[in-house]
Amino acid sequence: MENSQKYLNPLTLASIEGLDLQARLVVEGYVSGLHKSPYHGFSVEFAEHKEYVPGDDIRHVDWKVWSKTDKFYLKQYEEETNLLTYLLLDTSESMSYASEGNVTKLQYAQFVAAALAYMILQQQDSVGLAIFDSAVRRYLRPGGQPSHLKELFHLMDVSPAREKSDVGPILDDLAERFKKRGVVVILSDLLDDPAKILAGLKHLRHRRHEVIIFHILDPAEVDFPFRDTTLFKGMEGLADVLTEPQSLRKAYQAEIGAYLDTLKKGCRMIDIDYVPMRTDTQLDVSLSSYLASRATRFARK
Amino acid sequence: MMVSVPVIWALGFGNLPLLYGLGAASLPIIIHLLNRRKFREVRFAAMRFLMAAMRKNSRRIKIEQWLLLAIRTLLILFVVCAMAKPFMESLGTVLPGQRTHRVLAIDGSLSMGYASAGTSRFDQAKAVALRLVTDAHRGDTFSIVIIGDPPRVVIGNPSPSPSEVEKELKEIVQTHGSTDLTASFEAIDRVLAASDIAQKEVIVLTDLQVASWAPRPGVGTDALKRATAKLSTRKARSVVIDLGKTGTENRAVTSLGLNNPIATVGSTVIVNATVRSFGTTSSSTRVRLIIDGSVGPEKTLDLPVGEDVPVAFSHVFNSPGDHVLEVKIDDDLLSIDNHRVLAVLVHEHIEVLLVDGDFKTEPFQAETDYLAQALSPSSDSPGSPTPVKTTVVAESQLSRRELAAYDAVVLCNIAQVTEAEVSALEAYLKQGGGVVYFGGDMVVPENANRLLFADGKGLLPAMIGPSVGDSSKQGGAPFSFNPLGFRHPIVAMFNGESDEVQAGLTSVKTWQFEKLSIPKESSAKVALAFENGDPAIVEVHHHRGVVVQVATSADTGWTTWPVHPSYPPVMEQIIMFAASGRTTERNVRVGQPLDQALPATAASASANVLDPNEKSTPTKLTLAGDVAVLKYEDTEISGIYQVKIGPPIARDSTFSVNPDPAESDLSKLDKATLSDAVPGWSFAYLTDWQGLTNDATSVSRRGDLHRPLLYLVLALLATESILAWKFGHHS
Repeated sequence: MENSQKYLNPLTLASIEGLDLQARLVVEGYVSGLHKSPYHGFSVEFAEHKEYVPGDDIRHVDWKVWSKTDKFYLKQYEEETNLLTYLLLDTSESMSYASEGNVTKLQYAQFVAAALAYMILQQQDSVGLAIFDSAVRRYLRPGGQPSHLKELFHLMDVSPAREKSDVGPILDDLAERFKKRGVVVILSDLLDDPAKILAGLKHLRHRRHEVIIFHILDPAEVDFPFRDTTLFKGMEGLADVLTEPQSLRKAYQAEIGAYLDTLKKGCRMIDIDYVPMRTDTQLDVSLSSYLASRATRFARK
Repeated sequence: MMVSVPVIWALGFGNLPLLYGLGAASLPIIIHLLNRRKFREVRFAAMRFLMAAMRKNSRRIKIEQWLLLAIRTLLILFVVCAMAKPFMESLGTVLPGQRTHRVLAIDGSLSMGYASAGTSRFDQAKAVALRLVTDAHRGDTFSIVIIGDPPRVVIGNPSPSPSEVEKELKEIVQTHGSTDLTASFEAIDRVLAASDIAQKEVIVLTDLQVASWAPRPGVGTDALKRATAKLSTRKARSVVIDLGKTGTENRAVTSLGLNNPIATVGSTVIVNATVRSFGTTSSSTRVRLIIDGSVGPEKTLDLPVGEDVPVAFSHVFNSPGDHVLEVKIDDDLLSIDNHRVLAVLVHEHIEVLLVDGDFKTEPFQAETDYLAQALSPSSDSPGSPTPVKTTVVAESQLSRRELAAYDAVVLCNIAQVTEAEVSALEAYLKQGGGVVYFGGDMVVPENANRLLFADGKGLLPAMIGPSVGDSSKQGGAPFSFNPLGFRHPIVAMFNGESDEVQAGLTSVKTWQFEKLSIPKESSAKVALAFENGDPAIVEVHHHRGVVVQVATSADTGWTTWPVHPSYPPVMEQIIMFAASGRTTERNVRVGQPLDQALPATAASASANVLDPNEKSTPTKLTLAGDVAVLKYEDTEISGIYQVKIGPPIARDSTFSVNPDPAESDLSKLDKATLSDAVPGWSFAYLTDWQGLTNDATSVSRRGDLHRPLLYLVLALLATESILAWKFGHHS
């Protein structure tokens, strides 16, 4: 157990090659520390066909469909998967920020996304992935096969873009794109206009999706620990600023505090799970605090 | 109407060159600018919040930065200013950059001779004065006044030439006198008046000895107040530089004299001296008597603190003429008062002229017979050879005698004197002679009062009134003497003697005497009185001589005294006392003139005075009425002065000049007690003479500012730390 626990440190995890291994380490390190599965209750009625790809188990090929269409589709049983999860991973330039001694926000988001995908697939549920910055760059529809995991990790393992994120319109776009109700998990630093973000989220909620936001921020963005005169070079096309950060700390903290507050309140208003995450926090701590509270909530229902 | 003078303050600096360091005040600004050029670069994602914070706070941050920058700059400015030793001066004092008339008032009293570490206070004063002259600004002028009794103005008209002032300063020698503070302040005021330079400064270099500066008992401070008030009206700033910080221990010979006013060849004289230890510790010392430069007997004395310890030596002079006695103790830090000198005129005989107003040839019938026998017993009498040689003349012979040849002239029962005789007697007294005047039944009071008393201006100390008692009726109650406690030297020999001996004087019966009336303002003293309070013997110093007036007769006509055993010794004392005028004039205090009267024939003679420093000064005799007078004023140094008078009289005289014993007490005033002693005098007070010797500019300072500046620096440091912390963490 101790051996698995150490991999829950983001920095240690970052030194390990391959998202599949990283995800397994997180989940096993985490799950082995629990007595009860946190995934009970992820239950949404669901069934569909999935196009055959080499490597899929041919036992699940729906021959009826083949006979009619001459194409191979895999039959996905209703009892096999009952949860549809969309992972939305922000890869905009701001996600590449990491203060000294921490992983980038994107890396952290990747760990979380990979761990969630791993867990969901282990539960025989389906998971899809959308990668976006200023627009949706790549999209993988939800799938429940174990082989789907590889695709997900392959897709997830990207470098950050040089584009700014535009979360609000993208959420609008995706709300239209996701035909079936499911759980939408957003992994982003959400450095955008909160009003636009909340509008997008409302759209998702309108489509009766359950939405979970993993708001990933670097500790330096929250605490603003800079001391010496510093030239802050703006990301995502913002201007550079030369200042003495000590004299601005409180004002900065007030600004970001107000923003986080708006976001948190807005999420609560539309019944969205808002989960703040810092890249210096152990992944199990980040995940467990949320998943445990969620498990409790669903147990009550 | 009171006119208020606006106070203008001027800033000066002790270490002006250090002000170049003010350039360092630019350091915080330079560091600030460099900091803006030297910065870290950080890529940052949450720029929108940073920019929003900047937008809302840029003005406040700028103000905070400027405030911190200003405090840091001020910090350096104040530190540099403090190092440059700033000081404030006010109007009426000294404004830097303006011409100043400085009066250097140097205390020249004896106590300034106190030497610690090989340098006397007087030399310290000169060193500071020289530095003041060296450090003076161009255009400043200097005067020099020596504070003393009397004060001496060395440079009266302000001198703009530093070299001249320095030369004068170097030539000044310390005097051994005391201080007349009021006269000194008046002298300073006169010197200040001599300059039209508006800015004036008086720098007093003194040891602040109590004897010099404290008010003398019985003398009011009104005159002193007036003198210091004048300094104030001239708006002269005063600075007192106290040189008396170290040491008050001192031993001194405070008096020296002989038991007898007159010394004669072959007779034993007792040399009496007093030694005193001032300060706080008792000590012991050897005391040596030096006679005419040869070391004589020596004694060791224990000196308790604050007590006069007497010491006596006996000595016999073997030759007539001038002799010098010196008493010397072991050296200490103030050496001038460790010895005292006495000039003694030793007589072969004491020549006495007895003038008889009732001259008879039969023994003991004449007026002077008892007196002559008492003063000069006949050769077949037992006892030592008498030093007194008497010559008896009748009243009519008085005018024919050359009185200068006698040490004393005794007028006994003289009926009337002529004006010529009075003139001769006056001239004789001017030359230090002694006159004794006895009453008697022949005396015409009206004549005596008119010519000899002359309303208190004549030679007699008392006016002769009507006779008291009647000698023709000797059955009545006689008058006896009241010795007045035997305090007067003439009768002091009876003091402490047995009743029998004293009875020799007090049992004298006097049937008749002249009622003597002494004027109120007279300095005459009663040596012996009658029981009813009337004076019996009165003495007074007249001119340079002494007059003794006796109310009764010299023979047994009015009194039984001549047949009493007390008669011969008292008469001898009267003669000695009367003849002491010539000796007294030989021994003077420092600052008093050497004053000798000679026969008028000496007026044309040349004279030369050799002072204790072997400096010879030619001087002149002046004719004053019927005598030639030698007056030599320059007696500021203690010791022996030799006066050589050339032909036609060719006479050498020795004078001794001794300091005032009060000067030996080195107890001193401090700033507070000086303010009390000289009321109304505003002065700055400095003590660091060694510092001033290196840098005299601080003399002109009034308020040093470096200390408050450093406090300000501390306050700014604290403010800077608090603000930097507050702006950094709590803005």
